[in-house]
Amino acid sequence: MEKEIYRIFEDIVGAENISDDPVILETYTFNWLTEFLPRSAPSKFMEHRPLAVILPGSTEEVQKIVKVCNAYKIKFKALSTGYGSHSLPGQENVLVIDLKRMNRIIEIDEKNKFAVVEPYVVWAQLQAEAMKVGLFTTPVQAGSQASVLANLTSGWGMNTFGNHGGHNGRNVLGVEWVLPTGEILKLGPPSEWFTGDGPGPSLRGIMRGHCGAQGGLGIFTKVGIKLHNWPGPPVLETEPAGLISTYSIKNLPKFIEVISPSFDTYEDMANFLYRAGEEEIAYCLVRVGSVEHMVTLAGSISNKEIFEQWFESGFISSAKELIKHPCVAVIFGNTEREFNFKRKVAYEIVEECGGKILPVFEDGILKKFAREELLVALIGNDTHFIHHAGGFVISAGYMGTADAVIRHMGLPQERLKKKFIERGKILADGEDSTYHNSFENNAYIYMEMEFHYDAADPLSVEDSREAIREERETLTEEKLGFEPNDIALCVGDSKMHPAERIIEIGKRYGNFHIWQEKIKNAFDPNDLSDRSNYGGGIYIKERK
Amino acid sequence: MKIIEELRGLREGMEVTGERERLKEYIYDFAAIKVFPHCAVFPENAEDIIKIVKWANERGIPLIPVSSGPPRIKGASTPEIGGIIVDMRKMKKIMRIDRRNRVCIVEAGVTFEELLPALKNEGLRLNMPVSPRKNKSVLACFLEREPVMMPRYHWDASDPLLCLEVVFGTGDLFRTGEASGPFGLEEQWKIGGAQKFPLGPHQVDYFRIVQGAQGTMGIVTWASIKCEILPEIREFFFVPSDELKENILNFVCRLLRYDLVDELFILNDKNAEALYSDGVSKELKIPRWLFCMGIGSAGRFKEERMDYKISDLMEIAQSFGVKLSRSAGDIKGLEFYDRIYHPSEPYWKFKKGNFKDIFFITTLDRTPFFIREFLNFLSQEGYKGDAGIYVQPLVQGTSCHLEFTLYSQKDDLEEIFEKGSRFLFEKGAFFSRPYGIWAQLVYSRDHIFTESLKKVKRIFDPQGIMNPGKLCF
Amino acid sequence: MALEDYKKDMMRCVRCSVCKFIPLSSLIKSWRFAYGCPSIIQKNFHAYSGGGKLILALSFLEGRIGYSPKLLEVIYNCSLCGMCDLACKIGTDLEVWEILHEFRKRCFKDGQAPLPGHKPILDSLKNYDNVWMQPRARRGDWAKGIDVKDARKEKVSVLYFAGCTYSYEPNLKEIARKTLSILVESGVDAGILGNEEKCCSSPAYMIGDEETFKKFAEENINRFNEMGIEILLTSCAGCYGLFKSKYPRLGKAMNFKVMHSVEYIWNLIKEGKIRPRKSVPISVTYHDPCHLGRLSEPRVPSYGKERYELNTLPIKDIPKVLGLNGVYEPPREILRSIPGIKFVEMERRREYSFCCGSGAGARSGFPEFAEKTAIERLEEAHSTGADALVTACPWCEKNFIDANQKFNGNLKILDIIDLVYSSII
Repeated sequence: MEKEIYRIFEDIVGAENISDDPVILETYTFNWLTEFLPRSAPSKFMEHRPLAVILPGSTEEVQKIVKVCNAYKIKFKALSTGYGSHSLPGQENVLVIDLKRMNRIIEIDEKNKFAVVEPYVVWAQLQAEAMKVGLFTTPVQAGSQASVLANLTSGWGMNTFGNHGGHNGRNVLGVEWVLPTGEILKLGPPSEWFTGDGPGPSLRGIMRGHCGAQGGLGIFTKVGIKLHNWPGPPVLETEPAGLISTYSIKNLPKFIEVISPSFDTYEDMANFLYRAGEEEIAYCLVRVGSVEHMVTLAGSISNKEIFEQWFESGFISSAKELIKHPCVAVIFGNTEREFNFKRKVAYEIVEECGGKILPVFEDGILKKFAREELLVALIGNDTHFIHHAGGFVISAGYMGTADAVIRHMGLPQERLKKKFIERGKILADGEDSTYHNSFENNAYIYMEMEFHYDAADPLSVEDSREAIREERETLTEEKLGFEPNDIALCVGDSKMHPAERIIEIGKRYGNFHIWQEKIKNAFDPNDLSDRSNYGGGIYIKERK
Repeated sequence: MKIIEELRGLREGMEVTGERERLKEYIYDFAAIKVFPHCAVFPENAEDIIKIVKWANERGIPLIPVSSGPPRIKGASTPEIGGIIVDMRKMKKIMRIDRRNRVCIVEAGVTFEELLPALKNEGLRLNMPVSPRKNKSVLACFLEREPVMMPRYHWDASDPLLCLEVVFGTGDLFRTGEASGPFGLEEQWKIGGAQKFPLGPHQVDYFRIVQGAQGTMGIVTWASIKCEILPEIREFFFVPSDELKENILNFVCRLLRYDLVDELFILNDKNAEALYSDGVSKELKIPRWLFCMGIGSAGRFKEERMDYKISDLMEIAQSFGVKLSRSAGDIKGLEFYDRIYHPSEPYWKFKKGNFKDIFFITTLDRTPFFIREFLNFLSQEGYKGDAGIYVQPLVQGTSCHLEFTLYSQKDDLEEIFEKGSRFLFEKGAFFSRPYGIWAQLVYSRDHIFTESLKKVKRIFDPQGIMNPGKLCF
Repeated sequence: MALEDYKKDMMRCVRCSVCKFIPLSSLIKSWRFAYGCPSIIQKNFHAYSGGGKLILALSFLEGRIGYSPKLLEVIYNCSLCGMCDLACKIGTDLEVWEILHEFRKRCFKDGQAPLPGHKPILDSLKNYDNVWMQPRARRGDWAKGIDVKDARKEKVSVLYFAGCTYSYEPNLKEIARKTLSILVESGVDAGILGNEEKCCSSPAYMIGDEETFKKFAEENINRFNEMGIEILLTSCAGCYGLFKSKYPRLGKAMNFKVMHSVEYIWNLIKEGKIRPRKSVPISVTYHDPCHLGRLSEPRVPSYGKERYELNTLPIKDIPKVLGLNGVYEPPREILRSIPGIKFVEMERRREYSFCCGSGAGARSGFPEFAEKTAIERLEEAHSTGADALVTACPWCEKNFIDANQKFNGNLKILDIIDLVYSSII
């Protein structure tokens, strides 16, 4: 960056809040999933280093930065916690705007059940404050160290407690948005946050769809988020546990129980999800794949212990006979009556749907794990254990009705993954590792196919890229899946950059990639907000 | 007559009328200048609509989509400068009712009167407004984000509208959300799809651009609508009160945290009377304020569920010093429950003569402020008529629809309506659904939003043929 | 043992940012005290986080960056408190702390370290066997007047190791004196080395000077073995942590048990040999020193050795050490046993205690960083409503006392021994 322009940015944020030192820039060049971007050799680093990294402290500073970028035609991309290659610039000479300093909870409106946050408030922080006033959040699977705002405005929205709290793409209220041209657009009333819709059509629809613009349409500086009721105490104390999870609840709150029913078939499991949804019994309703997949996610014990204690010992092979399709449901009541009712119904419908709550979870060594440790795992939402084998990738992940998604995900996964495991370069954690969340009393679910590879093993990475390509093409050929809403669209494969794939898919789905390009051209006429992960990215022909 | 001939030529047998008598029904009674449309065309499917829109683009002639019957209460679907009415009342298919997935798909012309019994047969119901007009299009109602009675099933301001098929102002056909493809609906159903998940495709929520747009972005041919389980047993409670007491409002606020009650809203006596009375019998004894709450239960555990809910509800009420009752004055709860779910013809507010609604979005805790201020305003203006008040918590309690209804036996509401609207706007009312003068108020205040909306308009209706004169277009 | 050994772990970082916070599954209790990494709180750029430094190590090994003032600043503007290692290890097997430390060793090996602020420490060790540039001869002066065995001449069961800071720091000597007095009064067969006591070499180790560490550690182990002691007892968490978790890496037999005075004192209380009887009416909160807590648990680095099972599950043949077995209960039991004390916990505690900011050369290399980190911790202590912040480490105490002058919270800074002493005398 030219020295004089650099100085202008320094004037805006202060010298200590901007850097073009390669040491600083490298840490904005490295990320998860970069190894999947199509290049001659996979790398943990993006192809391009940022031009510089700048840390604004307020919306006013963000606006000034964007206006300077427009004046000097400098591309920019904002990030908060920045987890995943889609957070980073995909082009050269892009200014990274790190929103780390904008980290305030502006308000929690206890009466009207919403909060307003700046970009670097993470889920764990908002949750802690919300719980103090009897409210709860919908923390995302990326983990509670991830940014609330980023998920609502720019990411996806699938989350563990969505069965009671909703999908985050639908939990967005008011938004403060610095457009790519530098104007500040407020969604909702001028200085209030209880809604982001109108007047007239809702521009939330331009801001995001199934997923957000991933940096391609400017910068979001505040968001209102709908919260939901928390029947538990204001603070939960933990203590180090022992079995699989590092921590366990110290004093289990009243009127809460985690149940882990298991079903013999996907159909039975689906029936349970539908019944649980209709009877409205579950505060959280998730599935973590087969038993060996669940076990290999036990990050707080070492891989050595996982292998020796669970696999080598023969425990997994005997457990698999009993546990085929496990689910986890959190039953939570505001009163004893409510809890007793929901609990009774839960047990009955498990049986009605041909499921079992295994004795080992009721009396045996796994009881504490199932009841208390698992609760901490769900509430603490420390999900980086998914990487403990060295790498983790979602190869496909859809939202839809339970029947459809299970058909698109669950059943094909078993068949496809078996093939990949046999090739020997991805983790053999069971053919069935689909993960699921239910939303809004099982109105729809999210399910993903996932597998583990080792990012440090080039052969594992290569094979994984190929596996994803194969999987995608198979699903398309078999007319399975709902491609535009596939979370894995942010992941490349051995053949295509994510943006190239979006163009392919767009042609089959109403040419949405062209509509998106029109939106991009209208809102970012100077094409400065890094387009790499928006629509057809740099690959789209219809670019102005 | 050339236009009418051209339209007829788009598809043999497509009905087009230019008869003045028939076109009368499209006029907005409160329009300062009553402009008739050129003609009305009655498409029967998406292909008809695509042809109409493409033709209108070539000719530069405005189109006004209509799917409900008269009267035109808010003026959204009435011509400002002539143009062609695209009347979809012939598109009456209930395309699918899916009990397992709790969703139905309806064409634009399906009314509440038609849909509700069909849903009932499948054990389903809608989260819907209070007693809508019988000839109101279900799709149009939810496209307008009309307030719905069950806040706990209102997860997003867009609910219960899910996916839709739209012909944009460019003439392009597009399906939103999970419905966007691949292939047609039947193929999607074969692979288990139910057009339930509304977001996308990909990075845009196209349905949000169309919803609330008053037909200015495109014409919706069908939509999937989220359904709820029809209760097999029901209870309905009131908290009758002379005032809008803080403890009762706090009680309502608390209920919005829980999953106890379904229907939850507040009416004043004027509106309750209009809704409940048959318009013939003697004057009803009705408390000044009715806080209304319904509980429904179905399935194997219905009685147990009802039992725990009522017990919990009573306990919570007691903790707030609130007394619940199954009747309010002469109003009986379960009869009232029937009334609110029964489409009305004529619309129930007409029982009190003419009326004009002023409504906007706020939060429940601010409603006493607005109510107090507006009633003072009416008093100062010397307004002698009745003022109905309806408070509807929305989006699981994060916001609230507040509606004032000005009643009169005469045709004299226009001035007080306009003055009242301006007064409320200055007090901070957010007209999220900007009809008529409200559009002028909101769009002149926020030019960045207005410019952004115009950008969107230029994408989806570059020629500006879709319902010109509405919103900021 | 080289930075290259850990290249695979560097590649397995996913930049999730968990390393910036206290472990999520401890269930963070507030917006205010969610962070665990002192460096990222102050510096904001991702480079300063634990994960950031892993990325830089990979970048360095791949030749994408070389040495520069900025690289050295990022590496050393860190107290090596280990919170990032714990937070990461909750879910993975990555050896974050080892990598950060290896990077420092590499800086030394390549002649890029010591930093100007660290050189005096190493010179002092070479010349005076302590880090404070004080004469060896005066090392034992702190114990004058206490009738204790001279372990230079007599055999003792318990060697009380004062450490450099308790030996020389005027404001803190009293803690060592009180501790020793308690031992003597309780009839413990304890002694001190006086002016023959040498630095444990923790600062050298933490800065990355492997050579100096080895020299001091071997000499110390040899001496302690020769003396035939049963217990090596110290009141300094820094010394304790090094003796306990790093000395064993040399592979030399250590024929003695390492204990911290809080462990020993708690045993004395349990055995009834000392009785806290006098009321000490004060509300206190307790700061867990890093080296008494999460960094005190012995851990065996993998040095990159691993094998695959289940196709790609990397197995390191080492135990997973999270620091859960540090010394947490004894100080708390002590506080609970003293009448009149009202004890209230901070949010960040035990294995996820927030660093005082002075360790691993941070204070001498970056005094502003150390001060701001201490103030962060003082704010947390103040938020509990306690009158005093109590700890069990001279480095923590010194840093808190100095920062307290800038902090307006009216907190007293005390050592746990102060409270025990007040209650038994």
